[in-house]
Amino acid sequence: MKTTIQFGPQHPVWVEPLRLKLTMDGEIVKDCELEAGFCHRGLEKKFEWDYNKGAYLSERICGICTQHHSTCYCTAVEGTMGLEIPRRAAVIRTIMLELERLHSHLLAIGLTLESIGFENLFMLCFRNREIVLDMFERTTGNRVLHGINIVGGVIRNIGPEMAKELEDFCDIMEKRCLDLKDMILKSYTIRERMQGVGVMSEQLARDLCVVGPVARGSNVPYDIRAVAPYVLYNEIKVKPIVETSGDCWARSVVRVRELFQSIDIIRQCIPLLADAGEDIFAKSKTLPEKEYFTRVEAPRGELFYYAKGKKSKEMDRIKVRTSTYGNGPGFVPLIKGSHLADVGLITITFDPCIGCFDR
Amino acid sequence: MITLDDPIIWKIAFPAVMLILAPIIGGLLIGIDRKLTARLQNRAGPPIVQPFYDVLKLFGKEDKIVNKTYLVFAVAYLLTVVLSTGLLLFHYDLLVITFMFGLSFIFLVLAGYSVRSQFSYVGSNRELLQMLTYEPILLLVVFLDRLVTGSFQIDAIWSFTEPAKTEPLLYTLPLALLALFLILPIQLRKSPYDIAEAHQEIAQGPVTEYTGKFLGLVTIAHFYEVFFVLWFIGLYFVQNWAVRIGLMALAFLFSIVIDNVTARLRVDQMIRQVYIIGLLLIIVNLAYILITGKWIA
Amino acid sequence: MLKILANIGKNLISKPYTSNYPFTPYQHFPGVRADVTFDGTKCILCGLCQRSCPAECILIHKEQEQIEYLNTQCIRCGYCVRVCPTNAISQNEVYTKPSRQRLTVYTKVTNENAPVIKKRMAAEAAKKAAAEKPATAGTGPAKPAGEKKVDEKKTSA
Ligand code: SF4
Ligand code: SF4
Repeated sequence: MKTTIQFGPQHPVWVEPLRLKLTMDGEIVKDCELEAGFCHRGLEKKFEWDYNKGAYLSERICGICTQHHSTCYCTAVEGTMGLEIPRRAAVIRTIMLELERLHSHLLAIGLTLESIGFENLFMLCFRNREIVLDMFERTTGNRVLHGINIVGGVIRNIGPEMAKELEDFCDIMEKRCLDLKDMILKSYTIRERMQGVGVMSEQLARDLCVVGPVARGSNVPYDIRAVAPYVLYNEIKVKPIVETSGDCWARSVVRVRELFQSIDIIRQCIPLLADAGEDIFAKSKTLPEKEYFTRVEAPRGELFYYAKGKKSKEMDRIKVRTSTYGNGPGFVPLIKGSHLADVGLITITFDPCIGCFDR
Repeated sequence: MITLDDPIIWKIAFPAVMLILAPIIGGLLIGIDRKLTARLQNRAGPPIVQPFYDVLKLFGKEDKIVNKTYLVFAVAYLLTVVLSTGLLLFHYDLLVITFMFGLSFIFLVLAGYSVRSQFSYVGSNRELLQMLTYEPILLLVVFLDRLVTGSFQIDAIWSFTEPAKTEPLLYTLPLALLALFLILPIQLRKSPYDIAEAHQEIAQGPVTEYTGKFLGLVTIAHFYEVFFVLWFIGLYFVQNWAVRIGLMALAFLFSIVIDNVTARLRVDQMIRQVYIIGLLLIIVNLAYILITGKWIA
Repeated sequence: MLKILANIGKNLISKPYTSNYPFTPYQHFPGVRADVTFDGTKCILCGLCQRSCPAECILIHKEQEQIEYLNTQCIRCGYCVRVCPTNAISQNEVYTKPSRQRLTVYTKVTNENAPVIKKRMAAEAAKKAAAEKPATAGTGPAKPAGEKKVDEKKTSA
């Protein structure tokens, strides 16, 4: 007898609405159908307004990688009017981007562990994430939606004391992440559950054009920070972190290792603050008129913004292609043939953020 | 004049009082478990009496009744759990007690099958697989008890009135106790073997559709279960109350710590691990009692 | 596995990380961004903040000479603070308490340099002058009372 299970749109493993229609044979999934679009908000249409307000709107696409979205948006709009942001603003943006990656990866690792019923480490991840959020509150004034980027620069400076605090934060964070890494990599039950589950071969990853940690877990060294450097990444060299096995374990390990990479980048950025100019904002003299696109490496992968101006304060068109949207088709072949118990785990290792999946 | 040595007190009054106290003790244990788990995760945690608040709140809620059978099974589940606890306390046949406890799980499984919910179905399937995993081990352990005491009666292990004749089961069946510890997470529904109620995978398993009072009944049944399982483990050292309670506390702490250091396993992994390790432990123990001649046919 | 055991042991003896929230209030950092307050004595009723607010939560009523601020709708972005030409808006550093009702704050504008008010006062003065011409000169025009009024509207949605 065949059973059909509607996995979602309301399901405890995802906090967001996504539906998987699973055809089951006992505990094994025979067929899988992906259905999304439950929280489509029509944001791309809304972007056709004042370009200054757009920065705040773009943050609302995704609550976890707000900084990446607004940086990508601002860079695209700055491109349409040929505006060069001050160096200090670029450094601050880079620091914020990496802080954001830290907290997003901690969240993703925590949720992965929670989906296999490891509540203790889940709590530990969220406790560590709390430190990052505190740092955000300290530097930007907001915990989640930072609202620090505007077209032309940033609105909050990082002073010398704050830089000192950031350095201390890096030390604390590195110690905690090392602890976390030890616990995750050495746990028998976690490895038992994750190794060899949901294997995405390198060929499949290339065929489906998956991005971010999913691609890097399958031995595809694709990282926008290295491939097409933006803000400050042409000075700070980033080497893509690659794992070869392509299973849930590899994807999670990529995330764990990227935590240290992020801390390293923040460390490299802090000295640059001292000899960057005092300006954090450049006023634009023209209005957006050209076309431009930017790519940013968000925690979940490549983020793409296309902007087109019409020589007025309003934008003509903004097109957003988010990383989760690129990764979406990746679930389906992996879920086919897996256990029901692994469905949640496989989808969570893709780090699905349905807010940006549907926009 | 009834004195403390009177058999009436120990044969009737004490088990009756314990049976009444069982849900309270079980609830408190769950409360302690939640508090301790929270502390192990560096949280503040709820107050210890929180499970009772939860149950009270559930009883004040409106019922959304899916179908009548489902409710009957909830009551049957509670009654069989109470019955098996009672039988254990009043010193009935160990084999009957084990099967009665198994029957309570069967009612839960039937409850899951009686509603048209996919998660209940899958949960019931998994519950059955879990039963398939732990029942053989439990029965074999009971069988080993029979081998060393010569009878399935609990009175053979320990009688209220006369002092125990045999030496503590712990000395003859240490590995069987370890096998019981192995299936403890299944019975208490804790990581790594809490697959039937894996809420990240299948919502709440067989009890997904219960609401209001009936969810309250299922929760109370779980209080009894916790008490039953720990009391069963207490049978392994009945000669001394301090050691006996210590053994129960050890089992309880063991389940909490294991819950906190492991992830949930899959069904196939669970069956493999429990069978291989559990059977190995039991066979080694059987060989031990055969060789040392502790065996009463 | 051993590392996790050591970690939970450490957790057990350390103080809980979580706090008893409603009883121990949350200690936020200096420089957090909370809701905004308007200074009625500085505002010139230009309406720039209304046009630039992304959440559309500022309504400038030029005729009534007051600013309507929908506190619960505000996203605390601080953009209005940047654009205001007279620095009439300041951002608070204390989070707003959660409330069951929509919070709307009205601020009466009393700045005499505001073009609208200037115009009205000029008109009033002219009228008064016209009325008082036959009689003797009276006292000057009364200043509008500058007070802040907090009004709690029930949610209708
Ligand atoms: S802080 Fe932002 S949302 Fe709030 S009133 Fe000012 S501009 Fe509008
Ligand atoms: S608050 Fe500032 S921006 Fe808004 S109307 Fe008054 S003067 Fe203009």
